Amino acid sequence: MSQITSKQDAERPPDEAKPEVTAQTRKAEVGAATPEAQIDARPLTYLFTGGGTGGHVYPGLAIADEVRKRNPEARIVYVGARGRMEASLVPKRGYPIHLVHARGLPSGRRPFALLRFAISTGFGVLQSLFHLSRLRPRMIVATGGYASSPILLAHWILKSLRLSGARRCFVHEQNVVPGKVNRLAGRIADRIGVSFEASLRYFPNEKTTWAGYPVRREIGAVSRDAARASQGLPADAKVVFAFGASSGARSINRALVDALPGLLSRPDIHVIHVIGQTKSPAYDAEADTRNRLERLELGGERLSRYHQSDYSHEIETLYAASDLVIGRASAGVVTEIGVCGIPSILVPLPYAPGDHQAMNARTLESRGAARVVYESISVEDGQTIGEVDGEHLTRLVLEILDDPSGHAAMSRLARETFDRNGLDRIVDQLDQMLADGQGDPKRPTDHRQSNGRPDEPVGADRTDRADRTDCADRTDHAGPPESALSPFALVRRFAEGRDEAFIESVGEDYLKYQVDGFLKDGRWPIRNEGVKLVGLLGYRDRLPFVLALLRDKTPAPLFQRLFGGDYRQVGFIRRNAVTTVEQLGVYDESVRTRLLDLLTDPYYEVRSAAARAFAALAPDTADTDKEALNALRGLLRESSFEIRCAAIRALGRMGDGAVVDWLRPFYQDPNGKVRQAVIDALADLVGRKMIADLDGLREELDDILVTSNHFDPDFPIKRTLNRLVGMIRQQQENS
Amino acid sequence: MIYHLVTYLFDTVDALSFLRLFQYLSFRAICAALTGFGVTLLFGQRIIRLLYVNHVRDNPRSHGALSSASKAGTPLMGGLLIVAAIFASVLLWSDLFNRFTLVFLCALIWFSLFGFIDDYRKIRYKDSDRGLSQATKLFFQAVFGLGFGLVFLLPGLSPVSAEIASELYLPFVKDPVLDLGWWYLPFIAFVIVAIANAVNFADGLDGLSIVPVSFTVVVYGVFAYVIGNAIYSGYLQFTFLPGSGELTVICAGVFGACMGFLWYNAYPAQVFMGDVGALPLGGIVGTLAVLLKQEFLFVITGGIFVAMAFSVLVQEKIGIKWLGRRIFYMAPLHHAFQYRGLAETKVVIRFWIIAGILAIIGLSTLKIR
Repeated sequence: MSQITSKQDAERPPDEAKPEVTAQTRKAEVGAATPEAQIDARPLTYLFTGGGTGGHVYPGLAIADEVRKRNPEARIVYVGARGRMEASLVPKRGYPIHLVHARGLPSGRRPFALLRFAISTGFGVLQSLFHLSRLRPRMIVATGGYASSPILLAHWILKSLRLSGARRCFVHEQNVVPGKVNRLAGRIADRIGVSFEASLRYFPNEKTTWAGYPVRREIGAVSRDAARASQGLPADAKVVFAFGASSGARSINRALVDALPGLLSRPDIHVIHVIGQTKSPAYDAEADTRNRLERLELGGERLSRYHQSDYSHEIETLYAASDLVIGRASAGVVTEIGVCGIPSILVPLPYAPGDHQAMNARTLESRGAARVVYESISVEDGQTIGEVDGEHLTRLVLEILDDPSGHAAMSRLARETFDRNGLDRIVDQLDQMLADGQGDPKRPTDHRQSNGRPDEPVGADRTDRADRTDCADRTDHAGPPESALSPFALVRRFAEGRDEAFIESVGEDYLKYQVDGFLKDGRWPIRNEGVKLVGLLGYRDRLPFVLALLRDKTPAPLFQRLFGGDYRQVGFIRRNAVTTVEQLGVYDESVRTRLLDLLTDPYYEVRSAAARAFAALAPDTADTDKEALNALRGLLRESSFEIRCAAIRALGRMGDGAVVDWLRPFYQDPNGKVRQAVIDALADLVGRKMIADLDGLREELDDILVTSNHFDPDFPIKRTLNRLVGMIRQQQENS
Repeated sequence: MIYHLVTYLFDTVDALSFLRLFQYLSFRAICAALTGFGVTLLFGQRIIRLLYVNHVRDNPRSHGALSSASKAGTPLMGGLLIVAAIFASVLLWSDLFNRFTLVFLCALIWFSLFGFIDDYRKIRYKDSDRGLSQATKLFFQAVFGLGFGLVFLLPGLSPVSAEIASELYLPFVKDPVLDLGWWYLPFIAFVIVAIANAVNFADGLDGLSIVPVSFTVVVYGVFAYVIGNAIYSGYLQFTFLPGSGELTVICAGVFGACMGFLWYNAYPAQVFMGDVGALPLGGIVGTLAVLLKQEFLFVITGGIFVAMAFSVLVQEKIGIKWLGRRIFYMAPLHHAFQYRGLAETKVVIRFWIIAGILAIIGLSTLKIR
């Protein structure tokens, strides 16, 4: 439906703007007057752009609403990407939208995806040039997301050709870490407003100001009592409100349902649950939630305190009614909750661009205004999904609700972290830019203060602001820098063991969440480090996922296979995964089956690592594991000496006296390392008292070839020096 | 310098005409070899002590905690010794106005300089990763290669005549197979970069690179003698390169310096050559190959180096970076042998044997054409 509307819009100007436009066009044609005259004659046109996801559309719409409220004459048009959120959201709000081609920058170096991106964006830029020259907006307001890139590029082209006249461009960034488009837009825009002070450093200093997030007027305008009355909730109840994004979040929905028995067992707790409207083959929010709920078999009384819907048009009322919010950590949600002063449990959408949701959530958590729960990964029907532990969620919710003073503190801190004047500041700035634009566009204004801040926001006193600045800085610099959290840096750090001080500073939860992110990364070198980290940090609960990686036999691309590649989970990942399994030290049936299978892996290092893992993990029981022993025996025929050594040692660790017969052929092996492994294995067997005929063995040992191509050098002078240094150190300590 | 002095003397003083002996390449080559060897022996002990005292060491960490099983603490930059000895013998015994000599000296200075910078940074920052990056080294090598190529292809500057400068010769084939024209320029750069790197990779075990380098240099010295001699080159059907015989003297000097260095570098090493040795050695072998128009001879005589470079390339670029698996147990090749349980000495001597056999095969291409 919205598609049809917008197509019509694209063909002719929207009804409300139509008379002015035609009148204006005629005047312009006739007049060809000075620029001022043109500007004065034409209705002030604002072009909004941004989108791809709802998070970029809502702030744009909030700004548009405020612009319209201040100046009902202004013409507002929206340009967005075909087939994305904005295509349906914008017409619903009554603004005309023009759809252009746009596409997000593909990750990695996939040439075809890049080509498609280039063609699509190029086409979008042409469309945007057309729209810009036809609509002649005085002001472009871009709110980020790839949907805004064609318009910004078109504006940049016109501007560098000096064809943009007095047009101004304002960019708003919602998140702590700006997205790709907005980083680029920072160069093109005339002014940039950011929501968090921590993001000031990503943009050119002189034109960037802290503006805050444009919170809709409705948010926080409803009183708690009125909201509860309208929702039919008792005034003294404790209300928990959970919702994912508008499309629904599986992890939140499932965890909340899992938490229901625990929560609803308290007679004063009510739960509002907005599940979202996702209905895809991978996840059907409504059906999935219903199934899960039915399994719980909750009683009627308890269910009466569970209020479920799939979508809400009056989210501001739900905010006002609730004591605790469970939700995603997008900039919008975080700010709205903050403005309303509601404590929250945030479940960041994992690995959103720049991981901005986790950054937003951590900023709030470090303020003490929210708690963060990270999704952990698991495998369901071969799909990697995120999940949140319901019991953990129950505990957290009850903890917050049962501590009134803590609850009040969180509420206060949330309110202090955000202010609700972002919208005013942004629209003030737009007005100011237009006023400046009447004259010389280069004229400096009082807005360009040295500290890059607009005037004090109304309603916030100075100490409060100073405190906030301080805090923003602190959160920005708290914890280790981003590069210390790179997978390679982490592996280096933990290679020697768990660095507890570091883990403390990062937060175990967050570290685990990072490792999860590595494990499901698209690039194998990152997954490889992730697998190593699971072992180094001893995350036993990730063992199923590691085993799933080992089970994944999706072939590598054909071109790689020609050069000796095998599976998508490349040799190093599998080898390190086996080592990780060994480090985790769990030996159950699933591990045993996996290791048995890996003894026949196509990559030699995996086979030898699997044999080593058997040696390390297999329990020393009286009845030997015949199946494993026979599989290991098969490895003795391998051409790689490394595998033979590992298999021989494993046999010594797991086998019984019969194994000696299998080892006998290796007494004169040409490779000394193999013979050494045989001796190790025999020693193991003797140590485990597996050999009855010790005399016979003693006699056999004469056959072992002991000349060796290998020896370890020894420089006695260094040993002597070390002893001297040790003596000196000891005397120093004593005195 | 002795060459120039003596030439001047027997030209002016009749009584000293017996000094004509010094004009003979063979005599000067022997003198050069002895000088190279003598200089290293004479100054070796002192330079090694100097390096050690100034903390130019392999492992600059705590002195009292060196493992008694490792060679940590061995002085680095022994290459300075090699370079100094080569310089001494070339300055004393070569014709310094010969263009082959001049090009050779340029190569020696260029590669020694950035090899020195590389080593110096490693020592200075006490971190073997803080030397010049692989890309910077490649860049310096390529700059030399291109500069050298330009000189080689410009008739006014080139040590060889313009007709054959850009011809491509192959071992076992009499006539040039191809005239590359200006495409010879990137080819020269490639040869220089490839050979310099290949020799660099081989510098990993005591004495491992120095002996194959001296074998290669000897082979090139013999070729220089033949190619620079009108009669022999005619007899063996080589293209005569006037003046290239001077390279025989130089090769002999390098051989002498290498043997002198081996004196100290033999297992267990008293000194490592470092990049200040490995880079110039690779650079000058590459330069010799191009000057004598025997680039492909290196694939045979320097087969050890080629195999090592190949193993590193395949292992790193194809295996570890791209496929995510090992293709060899380890790279370069000598580490793979060590991993299989061969002691360092065994690996090194076996590589010498192979290098010697390859050198003989390389020499056989003199006749088999």
